[in-house]
Amino acid sequence: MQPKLPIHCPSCEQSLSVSQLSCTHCSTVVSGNYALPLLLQINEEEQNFVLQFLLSSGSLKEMASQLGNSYPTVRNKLDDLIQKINQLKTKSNP
Amino acid sequence: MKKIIINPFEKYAATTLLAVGLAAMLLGWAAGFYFNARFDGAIDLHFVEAVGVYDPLVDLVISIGITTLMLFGLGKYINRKTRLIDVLNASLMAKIPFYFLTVFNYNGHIFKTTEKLMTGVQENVLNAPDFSALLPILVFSLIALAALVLAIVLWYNGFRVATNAKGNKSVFLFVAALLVAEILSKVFISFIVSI
Repeated sequence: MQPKLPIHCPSCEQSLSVSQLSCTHCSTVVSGNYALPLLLQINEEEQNFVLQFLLSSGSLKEMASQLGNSYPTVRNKLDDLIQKINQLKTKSNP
Repeated sequence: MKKIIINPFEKYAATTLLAVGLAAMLLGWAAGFYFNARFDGAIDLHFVEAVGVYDPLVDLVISIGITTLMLFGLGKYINRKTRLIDVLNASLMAKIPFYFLTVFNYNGHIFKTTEKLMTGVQENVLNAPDFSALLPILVFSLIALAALVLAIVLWYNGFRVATNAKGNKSVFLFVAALLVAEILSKVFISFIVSI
């Protein structure tokens, strides 16, 4: 099972940041405090949606038929995601 | 299954829903003619003594047309990406429960019973209403109420998917638009009938 990348603190539900990165080859460890990239701050389902959008060359019609949903359902999902990303952007760059 | 009945708009393509909605409208026209029903309003169904061949079709075209235009205007105000076909599909599909109700007037049954009751009330001779006459009307009223609820749920779900509407404000605006469409279609249909 592929472990999920946690994006929210299980204790206080605030956004998590990256504090340590390591090289699996030479075991070098980098410590610091890095904010998660915007696309990692959305949940897994939303990330898959973005990926699918990219793979279908941005065609919502094609996505709708692939996902077995109607066109307005897919468009609404995209609109909600755009709104969420805009909110995250404003939050990270006030 | 439940989701398909109350919200087919999330799953099915607009062209599929349009084909089903239009086919149902034609069947509704035939049922309206056969069972003497008028669809003279956005959320209306009346049984009469006799209908002309085209009366139910004119009712449906006007009521669906006016409701679609009202909800499309509101939809554009809520979300400028709203498409006419999605709102039209909501109006077409929401009418389906009304078509099923027409069969209850087989042989003019509901019309005759209500006429009898109304005459009794007007002549003040209905002191002890005949329960066997009232029972079919009561059963029909309950089924009609359930059909009305299903129609409005279908209408709102179709509108919500078409416009991505959220919150209480959009529910309030939807109800207001539906009521205005009901009044306008009623007025327009009686105007057409009078000329």
